[in-house]
Amino acid sequence: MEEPAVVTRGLTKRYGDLVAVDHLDLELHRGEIFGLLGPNGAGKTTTLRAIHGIVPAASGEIVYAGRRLHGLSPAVRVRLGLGLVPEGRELFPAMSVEDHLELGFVTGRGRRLAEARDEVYTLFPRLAERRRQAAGSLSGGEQQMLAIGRALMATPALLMLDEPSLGLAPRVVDQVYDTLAALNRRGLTLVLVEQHVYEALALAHRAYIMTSGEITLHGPAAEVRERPELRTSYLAV
Amino acid sequence: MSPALFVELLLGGVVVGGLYALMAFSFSLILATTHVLNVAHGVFMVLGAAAATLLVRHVGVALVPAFVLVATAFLVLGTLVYMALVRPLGARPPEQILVGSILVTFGLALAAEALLGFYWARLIEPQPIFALAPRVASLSLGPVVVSGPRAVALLFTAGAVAVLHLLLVRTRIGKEARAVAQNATGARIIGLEPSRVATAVLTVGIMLAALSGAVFVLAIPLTPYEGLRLTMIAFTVSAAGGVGNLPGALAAGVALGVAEVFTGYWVGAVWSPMTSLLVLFGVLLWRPVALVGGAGR
Repeated sequence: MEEPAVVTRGLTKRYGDLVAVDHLDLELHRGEIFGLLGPNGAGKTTTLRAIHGIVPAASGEIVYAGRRLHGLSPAVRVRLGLGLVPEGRELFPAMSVEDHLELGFVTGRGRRLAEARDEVYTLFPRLAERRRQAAGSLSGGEQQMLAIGRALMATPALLMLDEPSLGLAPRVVDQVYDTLAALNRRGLTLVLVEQHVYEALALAHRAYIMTSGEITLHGPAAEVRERPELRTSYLAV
Repeated sequence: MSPALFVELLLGGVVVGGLYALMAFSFSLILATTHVLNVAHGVFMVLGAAAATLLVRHVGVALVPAFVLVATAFLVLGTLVYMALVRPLGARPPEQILVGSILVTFGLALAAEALLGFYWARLIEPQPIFALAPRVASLSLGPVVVSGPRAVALLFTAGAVAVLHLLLVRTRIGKEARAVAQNATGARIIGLEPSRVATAVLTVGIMLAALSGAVFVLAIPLTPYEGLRLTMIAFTVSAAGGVGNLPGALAAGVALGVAEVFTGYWVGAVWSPMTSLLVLFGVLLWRPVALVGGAGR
């Protein structure tokens, strides 16, 4: 089997007395869509943010493409190919779509700015129509597309998406998921964090179910979907 | 009041206000991007005025080279301030940076004022007053005559606003600064380096404050102990015009400058500094979160 894209060993993160992530061991494979699923407060967002480096892990190890990430800033991790589409999108409300894409661009990853931007516009024609519009004036769906587009500008090898369906109309969610599937077919490894377990399991290849900072269930998505414990572990909190 | 006098006062207010706006905008951009509330900002304006006075009046450097020297020196000083006082605050939570920076820069402001006043009186002249009296021909615009120094100040302000606007809207580092001001977390997530932005904004901001001071004393003299009053003006303009908002700062700065000049004329010169404090009270009563709200438009 080929080398995994990301491995975490004993990853732990505390906020004061609260243990958000408790000795988490994960293994993400290159080219897959990996679902990290579970109820609110399970530690999914913290896990993604620790891998991305935006919150420092308290202890444990994160290895990406054979390299330990300990002590590396998010800026370095982005240059290494780790991308994050955060919960709440974290856009710059008064800046235009075009400015977002330009800021998301990272040099030295084999593409020019115009190339990367055209690709995003091909993927999301809606953004091309709105290129001069301020992010704050976009609809929720368009903002989500912009958040994904901005992350794609850095030419990530692994893209982590935190609740990409949150607050979107079901039709828009389908659109976003279709785009994610297309990106994955082109070789992009995806990590999908969702509270909507069943929708995410339909898209993912493999899934880990997380509850209270720990993994309670894992395996191929189709199997996890059929497991009777899914309902109990999901409702346990 | 004759129309000529009215125009004269108005022009004086616009000149002063434009420089207030520049100084205040750099103050608020620093606040918005780094959470550093630079209490010493007005003091850098006074230091810039002092440096320009020293170079022009006591060393004999011509006006334009003196301004270039002041700008260069304060870019270096700004970098030093960043490395010595701001970088150690590092990646602490914004509230801690805010409080820490108030204490540190307040100390810096008091020390700088005292040292400047003391040594200027001892080494240069016993009554320290910073003023430049350049021989610049006045400008006639129909019936309105603009004195040479005022014309230079207006041109400088207009030029600086244009350059700042282009920097913020067109350049990569300008866009990064706006992004960090609008959403620091979002900026870090896409791999921007907040420390790179902080260095740029702080050094350029301090340089701009010093340069505004140098231009200010073309029209109005300053003394060593006016720095904190000028910082209060930066506060007022930022609160009224919006933090990190260039057009807002320009409008608020000019309005304040004009209000000060007319207050001085009608009520008496000693009352003109009160104008900015009254405006600040008013703004904070009306919008108590004015200084910590959204930014970077």
